[in-house]
Amino acid sequence: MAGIATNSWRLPLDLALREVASHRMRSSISAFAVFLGVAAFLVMTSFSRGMEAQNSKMFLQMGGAEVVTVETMQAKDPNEEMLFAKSPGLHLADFTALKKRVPQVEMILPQISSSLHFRIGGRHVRGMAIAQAWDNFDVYNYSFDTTEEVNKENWDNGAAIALVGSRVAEDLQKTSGKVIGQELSMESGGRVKVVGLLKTTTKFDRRSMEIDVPLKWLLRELGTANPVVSSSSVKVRDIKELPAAVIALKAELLSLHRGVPDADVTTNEDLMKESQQTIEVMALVTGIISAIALISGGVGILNILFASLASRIRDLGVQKALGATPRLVFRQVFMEALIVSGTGGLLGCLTGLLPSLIAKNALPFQPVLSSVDILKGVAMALGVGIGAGLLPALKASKLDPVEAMRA
Amino acid sequence: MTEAVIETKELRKSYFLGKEEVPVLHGIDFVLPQGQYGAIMGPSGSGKSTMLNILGCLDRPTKGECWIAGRDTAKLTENELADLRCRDIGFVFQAFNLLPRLTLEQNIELPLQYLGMPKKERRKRVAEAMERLGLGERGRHLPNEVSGGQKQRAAIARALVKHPALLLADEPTGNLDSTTTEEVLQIFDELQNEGNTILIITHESDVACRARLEWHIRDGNISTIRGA
Repeated sequence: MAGIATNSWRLPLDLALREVASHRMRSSISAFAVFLGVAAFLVMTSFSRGMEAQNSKMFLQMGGAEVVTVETMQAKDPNEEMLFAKSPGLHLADFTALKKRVPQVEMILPQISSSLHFRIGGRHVRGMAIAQAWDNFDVYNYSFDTTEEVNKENWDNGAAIALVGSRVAEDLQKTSGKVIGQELSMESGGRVKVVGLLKTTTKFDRRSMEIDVPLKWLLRELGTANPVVSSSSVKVRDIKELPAAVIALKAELLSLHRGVPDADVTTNEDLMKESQQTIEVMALVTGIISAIALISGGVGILNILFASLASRIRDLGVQKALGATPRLVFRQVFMEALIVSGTGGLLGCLTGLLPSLIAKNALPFQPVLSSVDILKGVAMALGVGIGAGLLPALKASKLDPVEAMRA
Repeated sequence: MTEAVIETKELRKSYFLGKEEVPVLHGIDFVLPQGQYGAIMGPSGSGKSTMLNILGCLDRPTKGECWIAGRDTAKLTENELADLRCRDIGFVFQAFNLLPRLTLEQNIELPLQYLGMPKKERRKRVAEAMERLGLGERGRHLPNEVSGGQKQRAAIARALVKHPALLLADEPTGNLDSTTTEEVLQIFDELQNEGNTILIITHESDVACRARLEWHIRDGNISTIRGA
């Protein structure tokens, strides 16, 4: 005859499954709490990772760490408004001056987007029009498809041409039946011809809504070489010179604006940090929600097991009398906890995977999950099962069969 | 001479109420030879349940020796006691003690699973035991779906299925009507005739008198009524 089955897992598993099945409602509620915890953890992790990846992409679109943005500040109160009124304001010429005065500045990236609107016939074209120089395309990592030759020379000479993003193109296609070759007009009468499409990754890409025109064309249309700008950027020679460049830029702007601090200087790194902080806060909140759900699941499992032990203490005594070793009884009760938490965890993992599988075009970013994240989700569920199952299993394994059968 | 399945020497058991020692068994010498059918009879509080627990390896003596199937239970670890219960002792309880979530068939199979027996052999033994106890059609029923007599038959089948050295029955007819009691006692008679070693603990004289050997236990002392 074979030896006593102290090392068997199948028998305790079989008995544990029967026990869990006999308390379907209680088991389901506890499994649901574990499910919520794991699903929330995985969904939000996939969102965080997707947003981080999106941020990295945006960082490249923003020209990387060497790009510094200078923008007009909004007055916070009437006193500041009066103070800012003494400044000539931020003009395009300020950037040319900054290039000359601040040695750390390698190139200026002039850009005008405010008060720039296009129409087809009488209808407003939805999109964000930006007039910029050709160099910006390189620094901001643009890429595009064009049907006719678009190059630095004709762009910087102010050719009447435009490049549009995918959503603008869709809009043009719907309203006028064509994109390439379509003429867009400004209210002042100036016209540009769409000659190409900006390449974008998703419809949520900021560039899908852009209408890019040559800066020189716009200046000619506006009839001025020095228009007011709300913000524009410069590129610093070396990332190591960034702190010094920011100080110098602020000082020169004060000097150019008659000592009025109405322009702020922010680095792309600052913007990235802000965005990263938002993601971190989101991850923290998610962690707390997941932890609460998982603890609830654990307490639920603990509750089920203790209630279940109390109601079948006699059966466990009988099992021991029939020859079940303490180890077998321990495994049986422990597995009940693992079955409940494992079921919740498994369903949580499947649900957590869904956004990264099906949300490709429904969100501004692609949720991302790694196999390590899935393993973490499984480990969390099993951790809850182990934590909640240990005490009841130990208690059951130490039952005195005589006392238990008297219960 | 026939080998003894149970042998106790100066067996004593005491419980403690706080610091006060309450002796329950006072040095019992007892032998049940292999293949014999014995009964220990006694009133409530006589110490017969304590005796049963020690003989069934569910409890240990405070002093003295208790040999079951050739092993001194006082010297065994908890796991070794479980092993001894699993291999050599078949229990039949007054309250049947079938596991409510298992069918009769599964209840009977459980001790064989504890022994780690292969499935094919388990199924064969279960079928034999059920046939032997007349439970042929009831195997897939849960305990709450059958009568008291059928429950006790299943409990006897569960005790017998592993071919134990000792069949230990604690008031096996206590929850049965007179007709079913007679049926169960008839089964014990047959089992004894087949060579099984049986010890019944009871407070009913008409149950005890069916055994070949009989002892009375009173106030923790044992006396032989009918010896070998």
